[in-house]
Amino acid sequence: MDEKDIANPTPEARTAPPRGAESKAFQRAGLDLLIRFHIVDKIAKIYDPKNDAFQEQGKLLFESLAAILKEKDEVSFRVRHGALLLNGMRLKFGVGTYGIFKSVLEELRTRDVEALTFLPGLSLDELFRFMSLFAKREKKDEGVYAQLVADLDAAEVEHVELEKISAEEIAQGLHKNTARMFFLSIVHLKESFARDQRKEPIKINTTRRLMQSIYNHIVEDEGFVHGLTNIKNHDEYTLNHSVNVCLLATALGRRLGLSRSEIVDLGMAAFFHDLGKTETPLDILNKPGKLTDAERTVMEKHPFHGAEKLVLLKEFRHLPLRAIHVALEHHIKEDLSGYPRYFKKDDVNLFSKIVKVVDVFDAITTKRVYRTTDFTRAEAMSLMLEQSGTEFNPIILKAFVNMMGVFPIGSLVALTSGEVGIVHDINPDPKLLLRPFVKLITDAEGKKVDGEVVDLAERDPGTGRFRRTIAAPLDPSKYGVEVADYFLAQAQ
Amino acid sequence: MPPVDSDLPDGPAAGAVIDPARVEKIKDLLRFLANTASAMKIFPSEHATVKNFLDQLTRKFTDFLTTNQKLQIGIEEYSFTFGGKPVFSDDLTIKSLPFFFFKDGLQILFFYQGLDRQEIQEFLELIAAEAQKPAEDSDIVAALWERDFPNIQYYAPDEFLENRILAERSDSETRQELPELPEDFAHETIEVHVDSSKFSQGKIELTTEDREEVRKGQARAEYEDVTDGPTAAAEDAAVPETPVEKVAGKKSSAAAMDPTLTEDELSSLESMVRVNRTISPEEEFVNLIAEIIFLEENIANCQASLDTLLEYHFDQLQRGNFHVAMLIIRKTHELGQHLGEAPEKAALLGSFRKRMVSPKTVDAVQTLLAKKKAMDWESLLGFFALLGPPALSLAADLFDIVPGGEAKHKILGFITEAGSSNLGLLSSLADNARPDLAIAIIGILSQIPESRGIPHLSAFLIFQNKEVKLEAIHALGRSRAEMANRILLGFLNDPDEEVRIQAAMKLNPDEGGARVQQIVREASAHEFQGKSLKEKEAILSFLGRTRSPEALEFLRRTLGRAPLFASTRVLEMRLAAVAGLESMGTEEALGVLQKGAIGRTKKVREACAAALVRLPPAGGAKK
Repeated sequence: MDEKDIANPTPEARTAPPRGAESKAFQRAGLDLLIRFHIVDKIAKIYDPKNDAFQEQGKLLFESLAAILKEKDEVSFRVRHGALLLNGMRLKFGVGTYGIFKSVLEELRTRDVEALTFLPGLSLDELFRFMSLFAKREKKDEGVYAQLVADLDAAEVEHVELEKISAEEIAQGLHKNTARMFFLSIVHLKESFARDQRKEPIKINTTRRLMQSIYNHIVEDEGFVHGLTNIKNHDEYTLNHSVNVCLLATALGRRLGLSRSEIVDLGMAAFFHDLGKTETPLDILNKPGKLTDAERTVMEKHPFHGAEKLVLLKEFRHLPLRAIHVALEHHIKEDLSGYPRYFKKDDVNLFSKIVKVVDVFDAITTKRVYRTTDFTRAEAMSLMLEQSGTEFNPIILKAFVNMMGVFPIGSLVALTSGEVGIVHDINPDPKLLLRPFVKLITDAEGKKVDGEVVDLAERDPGTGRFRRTIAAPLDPSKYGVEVADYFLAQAQ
Repeated sequence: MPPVDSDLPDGPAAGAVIDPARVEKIKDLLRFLANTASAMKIFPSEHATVKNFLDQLTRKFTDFLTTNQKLQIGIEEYSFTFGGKPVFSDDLTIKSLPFFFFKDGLQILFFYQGLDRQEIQEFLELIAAEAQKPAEDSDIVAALWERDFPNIQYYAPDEFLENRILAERSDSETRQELPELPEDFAHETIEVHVDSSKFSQGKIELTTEDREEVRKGQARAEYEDVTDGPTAAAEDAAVPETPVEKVAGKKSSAAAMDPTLTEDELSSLESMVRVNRTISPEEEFVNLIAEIIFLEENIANCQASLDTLLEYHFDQLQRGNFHVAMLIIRKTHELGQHLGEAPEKAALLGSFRKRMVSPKTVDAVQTLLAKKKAMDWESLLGFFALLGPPALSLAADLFDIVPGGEAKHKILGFITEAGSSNLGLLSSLADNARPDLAIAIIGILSQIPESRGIPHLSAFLIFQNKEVKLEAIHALGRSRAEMANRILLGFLNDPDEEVRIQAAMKLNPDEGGARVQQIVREASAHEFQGKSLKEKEAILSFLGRTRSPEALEFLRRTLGRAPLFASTRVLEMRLAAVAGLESMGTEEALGVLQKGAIGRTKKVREACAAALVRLPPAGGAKK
């Protein structure tokens, strides 16, 4: 394709979102465009348009835009309720494209942009001018949108239109609502367990609605949700643990490319995965020290009891079948050892494999009376990787590491700067998993501070070196740091 | 997906001037929306009325959204609002569209430009489907969430869910007679209280060990800066080990790995997700419950699980999922083979299989047929085949309700196959109320090799239904078995004359010899004369066919009986004897008939002459 202006579309071109087979092709074209936009955006942050990489990738982006503008009146990215729409069609991401998706979404939000529209007549040079200005105007402040618009006007960018974010897209009180949802989940699970004990119907419809809400909060506020999973032993261990597992499984299911309804089913399955523990005597559940063989036998029955309870629920037909799978199978290992032992089945459901990963992660990062050691989140990740392929499905585990980062959100870390901080959010770029966003909680001398959140990918412009790097993960319990409080404080 | 701001306005900001013409358009559109929704609760989407409504509604939406981009409607208990003012009201609680949304916590609906007829139709179909559910199962917000329309969004605040969950807890407490939490305190349980002032108080002094780890980490970071990246560093054995790696004890720790999934891994992942979607949920459920029963040690719980499975089985039957019934029966057989050391459980399984043989199966089929649903007969009969003979009664019931055609033929095929090995059970299925089935069973019984089915035809001796009895008689008449004749003789005592006549006509003379004397005695009795001519002819014809000397003697005697003033009954006996002799057809019989042909009673004379004409001439007669 030559570099002349993008031609005006044919008269029959439409702006309505495509459907059916056309939708699939458009979805592919949309993802391709998103990836190219992301690449150029990254390059444009560092280099000017004369740079070879900028030129090469910029041309590819231009070609992608031109291909769509041949068929459509415009190419419009729009942020709507946590989703990214291209010409009105929701772009679906998979595990491989999640980082890009999140990154572009953040790029738009950071600039208070709700919609970004490329119009016919856009030239390559104009696109380069736009990308250069867009990528470099990063800092979020009150006037970011107005300034960007002014910059674009000054640079005579006429075939790219921006739309300011609307009130309904601005997340007000987001963390507060997310935290309330967390505690509400514990209340509902406790109530569900109690109803089960009293042989009363469990309010499955409420659970489903709650799972949908959790999904919404993960879409809107994923980093904070991960942060909340640092809350441990709130109310009873099993309740708090089940909610954590539910949150992490929902987030992981989303990364793995499950559909919305599948994710809700997965969430419900994770939510009830330990229902069988209501049948395990508390003196066994909370026994300090090693269980006897007899006690272990009782303990190992909880998956079976949970599955049986779910089957016998009067309203079990409103439950996803996979909830029964997960309750029964979440202690079966990838190599099919573990418990219980099936008489016939020779496979484990995908949902059970997902829940197994997050279940173990949350369990081993929680201090328990019977466990002599609990692991930091970073240690847990490494320990689990040792069991990849035997205990855990290697692909799901890898996707989990990808989601959580090497230093998962909530990890207490010492930085090369001497400061201590808590991992606040992971870097959406998978290549920068070792460089998350960190909230500083001490200065370089160790004095406690309610510090800012810093980006470990940030470089010193003078030396070109990273300003801060994680030097070592620390055990929060050793230093009396209540990690969860730092997240909850944001929700007040 | 709802935005999180709970103070969203429904449309223009308060105080803004709203174009009255625009408001009128919205009122008209919402009225049309409600009417179309009502129509779709009654008629299917392809109904002309609905199509017309949808076309008009689409035009109104397109018209509005072309100029306004978005329509944002507030939802109150019985009204829709725009700009805070009511634009549509309906206070009929049961049918009110605003209330239908309101009850589940939906507060705002957004319709965006790009909304087309298909999406509008799907939206209204969703409303219709939810409205038809029982109140406790219906939740329009949950349904909208799941459907995830591209151009119809909604806002339902989390507070609604919060209140619902807390109300459910409160309801439990009330029922347990626990003191109910005051409302404020109930909400307190989910409030966040953190003293953030402590974040700035004190100091963190790293332990010596941690300080050493930090030092190593700093050295490592320096090294990575020089060698340009952690990957290169991780491969270099000389690089200090990170604490993460130290814990794991190996270099393959999280820090050292590239967590980006490779193309192959992505492909495997997609395959796992795809497979997960194609698993038959029914098969999985049956497999799971079999595993649970296998693992269960408590017999009462086992029974409960089996009860659930049975309920599931009937539920699937009602849905027409007959293949699930096959799955269940196969699985329980398989499970049974693993229960050698658990005889109690094995017994429960046996009982479970018996309980599967239930009239509910037939009811389900009947309902499906009434609804004109496509039927998977192969699976249903496959299920019956797995159940074995006990399923015969179900098949018999089905045979009776299924209209003719291939399905009936298939069911008959099953009854034939399964019934052939259990003839007593098969014949017991026939009854007066189901003549078609009884006739079919007669057909099956009569075709069983070696006449094994014939004895079971005696069951029809006591039937009321004449058609069935005649069918049995015909079947018996076709058989050469002695038993068939014995049964036919039984039919000679039937209260129905036609049955008796047909039975007599079908009697096999070769097997009936032993009974000649008895029949002669009966035919000689005064009561016999009271029978109709046709019956007399039938019985005496049978005697003739036996060609026994006793029969010949009786017929000769009867024909020759010519009192001066003979009654009609006597005349009929003589005419019947003519028929008997004609049937006999022997030379002796011809001789008797020749004598009769010259007798003095005209009618007898004529009958004998006619019989002689029909019979071959003397010499050609049977010996």
